[in-house]
Amino acid sequence: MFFSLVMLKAGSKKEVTVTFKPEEAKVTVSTAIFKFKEGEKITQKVLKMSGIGKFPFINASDEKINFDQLTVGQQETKHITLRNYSLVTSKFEIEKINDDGKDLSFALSQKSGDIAPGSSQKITVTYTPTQVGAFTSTQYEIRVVGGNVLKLVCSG
Amino acid sequence: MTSMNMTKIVECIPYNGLDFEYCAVKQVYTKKFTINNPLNSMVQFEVLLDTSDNACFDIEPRNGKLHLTFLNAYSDADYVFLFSYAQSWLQERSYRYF
Repeated sequence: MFFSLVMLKAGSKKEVTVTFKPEEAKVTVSTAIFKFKEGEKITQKVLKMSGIGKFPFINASDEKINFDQLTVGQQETKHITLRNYSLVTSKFEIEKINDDGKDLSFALSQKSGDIAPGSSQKITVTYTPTQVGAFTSTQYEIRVVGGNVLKLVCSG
Repeated sequence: MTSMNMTKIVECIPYNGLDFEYCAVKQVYTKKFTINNPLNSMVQFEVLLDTSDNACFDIEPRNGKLHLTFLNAYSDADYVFLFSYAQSWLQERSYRYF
């Protein structure tokens, strides 16, 4: 049991924040006992807390995007759609995983975001070749916080 | 026995509890409520939290905020006295050293 103590000044208010961070996909029920003391008078109240942990899951419409050949100086865009198939809002982060920082041919419209249950998010991939005759391939990792990991390979 | 006023404080705790419903694993969700003290005297409250279930739930405020408790222990009259005392001490110090 965890113990905490707070004083409430006469006529004052205190905001109480209850947080829930599920570590597993399961139903969690817990209780907290609020004990109030005014001089010798003691009153107690039980607060029941419950929540259901669910794994977030996102699927991507494509794992590979190939832009083929494009003239240096021109630009082409393609899209992938991320869909949230889970019952909870999914937070995702996209990170470039095989980049030496020199090639900036590919750009994504967004690197992170939230997708509501059953909704989808369109990500635009822009290809702007900078070197003549060079084949570029960049890998991205789409990580869902507390959920699955997807790979996206862009080439051109 | 619970007095009428103490009953009012107890009523601040959500009667039906707090249901967070579906929540994503590893993400933090919060719910808030306010405890009002309608009494003319100070009320101390303690929270006993069941941490047996991997501590998925947490409640703030918690211990470690003793300065708040300390500040709340003073009335407005106490603050007026402390302020005037500090002012006179500073005045005396400035006469003595400057």
